[in-house]
Amino acid sequence: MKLNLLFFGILTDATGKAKQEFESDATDVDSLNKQLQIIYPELIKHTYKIGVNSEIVSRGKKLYDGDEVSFLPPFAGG
Amino acid sequence: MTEMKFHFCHRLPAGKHSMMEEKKKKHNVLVEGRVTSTFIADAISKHSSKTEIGAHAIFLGQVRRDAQKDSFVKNIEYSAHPEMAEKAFEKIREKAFKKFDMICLHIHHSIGMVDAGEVSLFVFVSCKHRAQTFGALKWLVDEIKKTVPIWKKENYENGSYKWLDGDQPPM
Repeated sequence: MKLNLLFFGILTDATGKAKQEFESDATDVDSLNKQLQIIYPELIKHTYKIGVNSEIVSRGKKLYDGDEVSFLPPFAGG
Repeated sequence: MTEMKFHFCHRLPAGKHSMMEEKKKKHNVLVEGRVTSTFIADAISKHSSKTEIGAHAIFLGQVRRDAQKDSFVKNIEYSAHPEMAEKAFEKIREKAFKKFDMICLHIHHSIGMVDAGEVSLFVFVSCKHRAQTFGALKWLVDEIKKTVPIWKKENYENGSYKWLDGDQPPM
């Protein structure tokens, strides 16, 4: 299935991009995350939450074709 | 634009109809670039017709020209997940109106580049009495820092940069 990945903050440096269309057979967030940590090993050095379709989710959240998956390092607004 | 934002100022009285109307309204918090002093002054002056207000409290977050190794902060580049950020601001707004006896609340946060010395966060609380405004303002600024998906990249005068550390978002 096709996923739309979004990287934010320091994770744009870790992956070298802010967004990516990603073809994956991962059925949940955790397995997608593991796939991405192999492709972008720098990700392992960082703490981040994952959002699916604009909601922060747990790692067990199921993924569906067309989902937007966001990688969110600690927030630093203000 | 500012006129529209001003229209959203009021807390609507509790009730089904007003709650439904409130839900339809959008409070766009994110603004491109700095928050200007004209914008802030206009926001203040527009409240003169709200005569039930007895106290305003305002927080302005300004970009500091901090020293960093052999350079200084030139600007901060703010980035966000816009949809999640606006949702987070809406949640903060709802919680704040439940928690504090406020009449008006305006929040504006910069996105994009803001130079040292310029304002990037404007929080404007209006209540009947001063004590309520102080409590609400502190709570609001703390919540914004903790719960809104915004990130800061500090750019230095020598061309280097650093992503600033933040708070881990709540699940």
